[in-house]
Amino acid sequence: MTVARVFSAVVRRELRRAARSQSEALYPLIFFVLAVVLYPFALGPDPTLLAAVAGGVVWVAALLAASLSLDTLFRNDYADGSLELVVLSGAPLAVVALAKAAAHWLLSGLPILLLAVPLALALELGAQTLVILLASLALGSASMSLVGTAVSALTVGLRGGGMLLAMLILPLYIPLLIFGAAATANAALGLGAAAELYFLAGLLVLAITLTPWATAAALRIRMG
Amino acid sequence: MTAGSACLEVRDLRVERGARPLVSGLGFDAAAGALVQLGGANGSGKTSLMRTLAGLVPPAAGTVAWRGAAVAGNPAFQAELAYVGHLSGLSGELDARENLAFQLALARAPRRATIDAALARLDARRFAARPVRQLSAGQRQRVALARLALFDCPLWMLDEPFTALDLATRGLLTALIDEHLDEGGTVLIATHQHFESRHPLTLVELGGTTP
Repeated sequence: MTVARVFSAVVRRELRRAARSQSEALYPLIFFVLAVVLYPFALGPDPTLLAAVAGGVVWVAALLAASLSLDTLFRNDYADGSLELVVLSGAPLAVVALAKAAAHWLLSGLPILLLAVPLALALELGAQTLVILLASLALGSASMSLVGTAVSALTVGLRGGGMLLAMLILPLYIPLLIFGAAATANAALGLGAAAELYFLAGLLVLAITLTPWATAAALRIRMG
Repeated sequence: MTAGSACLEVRDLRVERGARPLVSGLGFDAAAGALVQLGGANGSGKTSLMRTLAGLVPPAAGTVAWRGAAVAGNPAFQAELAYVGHLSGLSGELDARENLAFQLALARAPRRATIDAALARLDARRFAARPVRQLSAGQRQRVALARLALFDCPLWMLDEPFTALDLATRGLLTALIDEHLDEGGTVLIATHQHFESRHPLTLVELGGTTP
């Protein structure tokens, strides 16, 4: 089946490339850890204060790290002409886009999720709140990869594309940040976080449905 | 094969870069077995024209049709086109085989040979296991050209294919082109270099429209 073949070919290619140029894949993760670690230096070691802000801190750092790693998503493909060949191959571009987003999540969203565990614990976040933080981050990071792929496709090959990408993408991430941080804050207060998680799940479904088409259209435009 | 004769028809084509006209009022036919050379000085718009003919860029005016249907976003056309552009289309981290395997997985075009056989046609098997980033420009171009032997496409579009190739490989490519024309294929080649083919060549000279 074409869709499955194209999807797995793109994902495997991205993972293989990341394995061969590890530093490029590692920088955003190191940035994520450093960004989180900065907060205790600024706010002081008070455990109650840190526990109160931990969820928001991790969310903001994850958002910044994700937007950093998006810059390289299509840049090399554009520069070496492989994007041109992909467009000319006649492969369904929406499937290519979805696979690119999936690979981005595997290389950025998933490791951030794993790194968030020790970081949140170090910030004195309780175990139950941690579960909610991870659930919200899992849903949110997948949406970040999908929306980010579309914006990355739109800015590929433009001068100053990296900064432009960050400026375009961060406002789009605000809804995710609001619901994600609110879910964690509610859990920290012992309140239910189901509503926020449902919203994040809803946004993810919307992103899966719409962004592959937007990415495909953006890639066609950027060829011209 | 799709209905309609295998013919690329270009009518009243206008190609612009930015707002600058590069080519205007261009018209020609490339039927089965035809060899068409797009010639012209540097900056005369060969690459932009080639990208327009391949359907990557919509024409500013006029039409490009393959088997009677417009080329842009046309899956039947994409399945019959082998395009070797001015960029190699190869990912630097991957080796030649991995790059060609990726192209195979995505392409609508039918496969014609195995990856190793295709690389052998361009004498590129020796360095097929090295990451493309480590190859010289000429070696990279050979891997890019291996696509021509890998797929079974009636229409070839080659943008400066002889760039960086050594004399022996120029011969291999010319032989490949001649063989394709013998089989009734069509070749569009953008180059300002002189090259020898057994087949008659139609020259489309660009330039003169540049301000």
